[in-house]
Amino acid sequence: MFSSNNKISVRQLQILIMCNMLGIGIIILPKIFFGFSMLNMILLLFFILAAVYLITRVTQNYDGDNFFSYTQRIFGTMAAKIFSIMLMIKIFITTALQLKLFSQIIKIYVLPKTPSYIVNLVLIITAGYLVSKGYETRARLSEILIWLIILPLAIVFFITVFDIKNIPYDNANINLARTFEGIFIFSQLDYLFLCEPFIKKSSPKKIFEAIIFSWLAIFFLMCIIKMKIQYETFFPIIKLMTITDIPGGFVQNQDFFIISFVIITFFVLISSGIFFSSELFACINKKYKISSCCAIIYFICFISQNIFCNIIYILGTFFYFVFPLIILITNKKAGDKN
Amino acid sequence: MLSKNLDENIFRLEETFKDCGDLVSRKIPFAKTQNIFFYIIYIDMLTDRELIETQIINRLMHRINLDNKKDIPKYLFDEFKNYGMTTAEVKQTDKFDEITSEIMSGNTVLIIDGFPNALIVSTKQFPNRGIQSSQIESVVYGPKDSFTEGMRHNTALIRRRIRDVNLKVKQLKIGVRSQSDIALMYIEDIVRPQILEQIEKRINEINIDAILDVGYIQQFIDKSFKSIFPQSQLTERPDKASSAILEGRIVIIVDNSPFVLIVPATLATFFQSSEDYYERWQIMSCLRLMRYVCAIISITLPGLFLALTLYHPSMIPLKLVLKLADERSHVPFGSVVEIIMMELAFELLREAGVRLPNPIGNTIGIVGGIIVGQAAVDAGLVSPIVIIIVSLTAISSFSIPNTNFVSALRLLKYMIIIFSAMLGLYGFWLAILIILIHLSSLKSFGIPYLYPIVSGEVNNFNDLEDTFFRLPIFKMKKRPIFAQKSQSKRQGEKSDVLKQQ
Repeated sequence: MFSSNNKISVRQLQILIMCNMLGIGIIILPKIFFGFSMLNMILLLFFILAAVYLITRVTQNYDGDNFFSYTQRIFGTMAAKIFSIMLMIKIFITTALQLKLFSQIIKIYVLPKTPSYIVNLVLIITAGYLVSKGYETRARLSEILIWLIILPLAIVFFITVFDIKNIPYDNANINLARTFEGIFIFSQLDYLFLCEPFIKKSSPKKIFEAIIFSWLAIFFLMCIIKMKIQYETFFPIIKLMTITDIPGGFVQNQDFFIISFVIITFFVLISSGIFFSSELFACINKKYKISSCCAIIYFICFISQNIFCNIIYILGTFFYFVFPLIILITNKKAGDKN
Repeated sequence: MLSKNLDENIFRLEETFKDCGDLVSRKIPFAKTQNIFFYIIYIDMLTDRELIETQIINRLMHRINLDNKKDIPKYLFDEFKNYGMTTAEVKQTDKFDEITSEIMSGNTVLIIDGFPNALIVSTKQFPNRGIQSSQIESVVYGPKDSFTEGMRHNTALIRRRIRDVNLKVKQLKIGVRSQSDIALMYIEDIVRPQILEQIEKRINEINIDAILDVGYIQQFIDKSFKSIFPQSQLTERPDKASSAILEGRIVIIVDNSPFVLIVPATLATFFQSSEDYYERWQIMSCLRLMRYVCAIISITLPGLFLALTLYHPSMIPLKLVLKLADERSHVPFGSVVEIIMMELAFELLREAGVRLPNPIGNTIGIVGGIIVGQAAVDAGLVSPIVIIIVSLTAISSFSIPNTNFVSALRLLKYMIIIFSAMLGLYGFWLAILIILIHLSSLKSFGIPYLYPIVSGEVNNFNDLEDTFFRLPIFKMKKRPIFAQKSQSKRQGEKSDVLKQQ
């Protein structure tokens, strides 16, 4: 029987991870890795799996506890608050950048005459409405949205897959730094710290499966993009969709599908950001957590993004690798002492 | 409490029922005696008069013989009760409130002098229009009977289909003044006790003057009252109600209502028709899928048309764009005004068609549709494509079996139109997302509204076999999520046709 405990199943968590990864990965990675070898993608997978391994090792030790509770237990209340605020800032900035990127895409391809602040405002309000309904509702919605995300990708894949002669291995141009930066576009890695209290029964194996599946989908689509588009474009996947034509289709080209894909993907990303930042914000103010987070994210996205890139890299490196290592080492020392 | 003195009781009753012209009462000598009287009281036309006169009054006056009894007063009430009438349902009470309530419910009350007790004899016979064919949920193949206003008729129609001793009919009385009879029908070993408890609790909490229709109950027990989506299902078909009971759901029947309420209800149940199970699975699966497509068309088509023509004409094939541009060149209004005008005109026609008497209603509907539509195009007020869009939208909505659900979709379409008019495809998708968020958050007695499309793994995705399509009957071995886990199996292995071959 269903309960009202606001918990989701591992399958729903997998879908949430795939929604996040597929969406942002498809839009951003082809642009980041343009001109570099596909080996960068393989290295990226390595970094992602390493980060996920560390994070899940931490969360498994504190099954059911939220981020603030277990950091409070290890480091004390003040340190827990500081870490929560740091993570919250990271999520605010990441989400605001995603929102900014989204408004740019909408401005170029969908609504050139509509001001960005209206586009952002409407999306933030809708995402806030979803967040107010709880994590279970988010998970249920993602079970429907995953099909809307996969559909345009599947269309492109099945139309162009037979054109792939071999996986592009044009050069061995590997850029480690660029690859490492690529990991920070995937925000759901730090969300893994925060989603533990909402899962009925955690399973790192299932999380790895979801990540590898998403990575494979992105990898193949990037192969197609590399073959079809020989010059650097703003958003290669959108360019790919505009040149892919289904003969006799009701729509002229696949703009319709890619725009739907973009809107839904960014909606999922931004609602995730608002949800998890509001969970952290609750340690400051529980009553207006969602509206406060929506307002903060909305205003941050009007600030120039250059300031934030470095903050994201620093905080991202800290929370993906350093912070879990510190916790694991602290736990090991505490275990040895006992 | 009643008095031993009959005259006092008569006075009290006549004072209570003062100015009730349909009340029938008489003080009659009992069993050929001259000094012992009984009093009979009932409401005319709510009772079976023939039964009262032949089986009660006649017996009490002439058939009982007390001449030889020595201790007449002591055994009188027993004689009265045991031999006075030949009906099966006889109750005894001394409460005045209960007596008045039973009189208003169509029963007959008998009081005898010298005893502070009354007998309540079941003599209900309400005026009824008889069983007719279903008006709203008609099918090509399958039973044609439908529920009526009589609660007992309705319970009998279901009992006829489910001859299981575990089929329970729990009766309640709700409504301070109406004292409406309500029956909960369920199969005791299949239904989930938690859901039954919830429903009983919600119904017992209702404190209102009168329950005039099952729709009142629906509005009271649906938890998310702000939602336009119904969380319980109305039906007038006994076969649908019986099928729901066999799945573990509960049917609520209200006296004087020709519809019954089925709870819980998920989105998928609103797309199921009784006919789906009477014909071949391949055909019915296609029709079921078509209903889902039609539901999507009925809410999204006008909005999508607006979004594409106003903001993204490059997405439409060139020849179609040129055609649309040519047609719209003579129309003085914007596309938004055209669409909203024609949608509202159609809603007016629909409402008018419902209110008008049948012979005129059909004619007006056809004439209105053709003349208004054609005249509007000829006058250059709307383009032909808009007429086609609006008509397709309307026809698509008619394909969904449940009118309650369709009403929700009719309203939502305007929301999508407004969003699409303001923000194009972006607004279109935001509106869809808002609707999906709302549906994802909705629950019907603990079960997600979008089940089994979401959270299907709870029942191992078994319920998907009867959602978008329908598997062959012999393959549908398990009951849906509504039933208790211990009763999830509803078919044996031997009924599997494939295994027999």
